[in-house]
Formats: sequence, structure tokens, C-alpha cells
Amino acid sequence: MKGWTPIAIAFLIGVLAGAQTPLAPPASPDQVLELLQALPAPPDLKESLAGELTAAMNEQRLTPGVALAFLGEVAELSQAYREDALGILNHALAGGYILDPLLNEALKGLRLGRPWPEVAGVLKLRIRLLDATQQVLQWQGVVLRPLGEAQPLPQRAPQPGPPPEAALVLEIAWAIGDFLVAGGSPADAVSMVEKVEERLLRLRGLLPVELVDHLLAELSPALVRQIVGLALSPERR
Amino acid sequence: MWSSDLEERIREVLAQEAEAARQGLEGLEERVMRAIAQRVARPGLWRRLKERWGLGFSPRWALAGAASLALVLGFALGRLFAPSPLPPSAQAGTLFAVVNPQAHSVAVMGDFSAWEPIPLSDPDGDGIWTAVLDLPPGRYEYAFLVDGKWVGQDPQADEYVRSFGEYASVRYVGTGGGA
Repeated sequence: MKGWTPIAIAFLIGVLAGAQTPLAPPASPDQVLELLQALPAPPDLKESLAGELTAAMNEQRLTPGVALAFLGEVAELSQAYREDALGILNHALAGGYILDPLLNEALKGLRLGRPWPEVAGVLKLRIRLLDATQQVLQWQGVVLRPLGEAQPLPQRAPQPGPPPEAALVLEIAWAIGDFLVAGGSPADAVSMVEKVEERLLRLRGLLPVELVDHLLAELSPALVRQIVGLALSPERR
Repeated sequence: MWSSDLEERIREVLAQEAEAARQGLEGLEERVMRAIAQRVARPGLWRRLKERWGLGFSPRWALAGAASLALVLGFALGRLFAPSPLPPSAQAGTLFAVVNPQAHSVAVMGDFSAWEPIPLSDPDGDGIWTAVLDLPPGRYEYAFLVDGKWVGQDPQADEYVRSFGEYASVRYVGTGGGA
């Protein structure tokens, strides 16, 4: 036994040389769908969700681990809140958006012990901002197609993962949403423009530069006012 | 009268100094030779360590040492030269740290963990709790849990956001625009 000590120490040194705290092992799409089927919810809602979830995970708009954690929290809610949560998820999935930030927002609120209606209020605002941003950017010609449509742009080779336009819509909507959720005034378009600019400049290395630069050139208080006005219009509430 | 007293005093002092010098020289040769002998006889550092700690140099230890060195060297060289699709900051991992000597448990949670706590460790008990996470490039919101209490403002963060009445920190990893 004693003779193995040096070998064990050598092994330990080798392991420690590369030590990093590992993240949780990734969940699989099958686990997500299994949990969805186990939820006590209307079958037609679950059927619709199963199709949309599968598509979102295949298109890398949703990470199975995040979906699994969200559904795990949803399972703990009362029946009325559970159906509300699944309805919100279904709406967001149908929009073709990148969904990890939305579900992470819900998980953060629930981790903080906030009641579901408060969490749902934030999620609904986020989705309204996503819808409005997508729509306004389409009007402006920055986003050329609805995000749910899968046809590739002719000038760009298809790449794995969600289209860059989806990431752009997400970041703009999220920057505006962060400002509003923190208590910022919806009338303060100048501050929101600053937030959006800052976010896009920080992510310039990750998002396509030409798309970011095009949007930065188009970005103005008027554009942001249009997005916020559309998101907060009474008919969207 | 005054002059003769002074002369006598000077003579006394000189005599004392001469005596002190004589005492200092007494046995000098013997002391020098002893010091030289000790210096020659003193073993080298490795031998002293061996004698003191009983370190043997068995073939197993030699093998283990060589293997450790090879592993560490191989790992370092691999990290330096292996081609990789990620920028250096993502390669090296993202460090999360909390300085709190009073804490009993510290964890970090965020977008990268679906807000599940990941424990930080403080193996040497100096109050510096750390974890290095291998995060792909992107923007990450996170917060610490210190003894179960939410701590949302990390001094190392690139920015902060506030929702549900609490702050959360944000890191930009591998974007050139942040951590």
C-alpha cells in the first residue's frame, strides 16, 4: 500500500494542474420532454409545448439544462400558476426567440423567493419587449424576416445555432427591459439608448460586426421610444 | 597639573584598547581554522534535507517525480499551444471570488448554472473563496450566496442589473468587452 503513495501523489498533482469547478452535466432534450409529459397540465398545451420545445432545442435557442430547471420549478407551482407559466413559455417559444435569458430570469426570481405573479409580470414585459423590438427592427429593415422563419439569408452562409438577428433582437430588448425592470422611466429614451449602445459595444465581438454597426447607426431615442411605446401599448398588455 | 592628569587618562585609555585588541586576537588562528573545517564538513542542501526529513530517492519516487513533472509540463504546454476556438479568457476559465473570512459557505449561481448554486472553496482558510468556471463567451448574470444570503454586487463585475428588488452582477466573457 505504502509503495503506491508516490504514484497516487503524482496522479493528484496531474489532476490538480487542470482543476476547474465543473458545471453541472448537460441535460438532454429527452429529459426535458419527459418532465413536460409528467407535468399535470392540459394535454393539448403539453402537445403544443413538446413540438415547440423540440424545435427550440434543435435550433439552439434553448438549452435543455435551463428548460429542465424551469419545468422543475413550474412543477412546484399551484395548478393555476403552472398553466400560466406554461402559457407564457408557449407564447415565447412561438415567437422564435432565444429563450435561455427569459427562463433564467424566471429562475432568478423564483430563487429569490418571489411569488409567481411577480415573476410572471417581469416575464410578460420581457416578451412584449421582444415582440416589439422584433417588429420595429423589421420595419427599420434591420431584421429582414420574422425570427420563426428558417429560410437562410442569401448573402450569409447558414451557421449552426440561432440566426444573429435573433441575438440582436434579444440584446436590444433585454437592455431596454433591464432599464425598465430596475425602475427606469419608459419616457427616458436617451438613457435606454445609452444602455443599448453599451450592451451592443460590449458584445461586438460575439455578434456580427456589420449587423451591430448597422444597428448602432440606426439607433436613436425615436427608435427606442417606438419599441417601448409598442411594448407598453394597452392592447399588448 | 591639569596637563599631567590628562596625559595619564590618555595612557589608561590606550592601555585598555590594547588589552581589548589583545583579547580579540587571542585564539584567532584556532577560531579561523575551526570555521574553515566546519565549512568544508557542512553537507549540501539536498543532503541536509534528506537527513532532516528522511527523503529517500527510491526508483518509485524518481518515477513519480518525473511523471508529475511531465504531467504539469504537458498540461501547461498543451494549454499554450493547442489550437482552440475560444478566446484566452474563456480558455483560462472565469474566476469568481469572494473575500469573507467570517463566511461558513459561499456559492455562485447565475445564467451559467440555471441559477443553481455552485460552491466556492477556501481550502487554506484565509477567507478568500474561489471557483473557476469554464464559461463559453457570452454575457452572464450571477450573484453569490454567502451563508445563504444573496450578494448581488461583485466588485469584479462588468456591470450590475436590478430585478425583483435585488442586484445581480454581469460578466462579459471572451468578448473583449469585459472579463
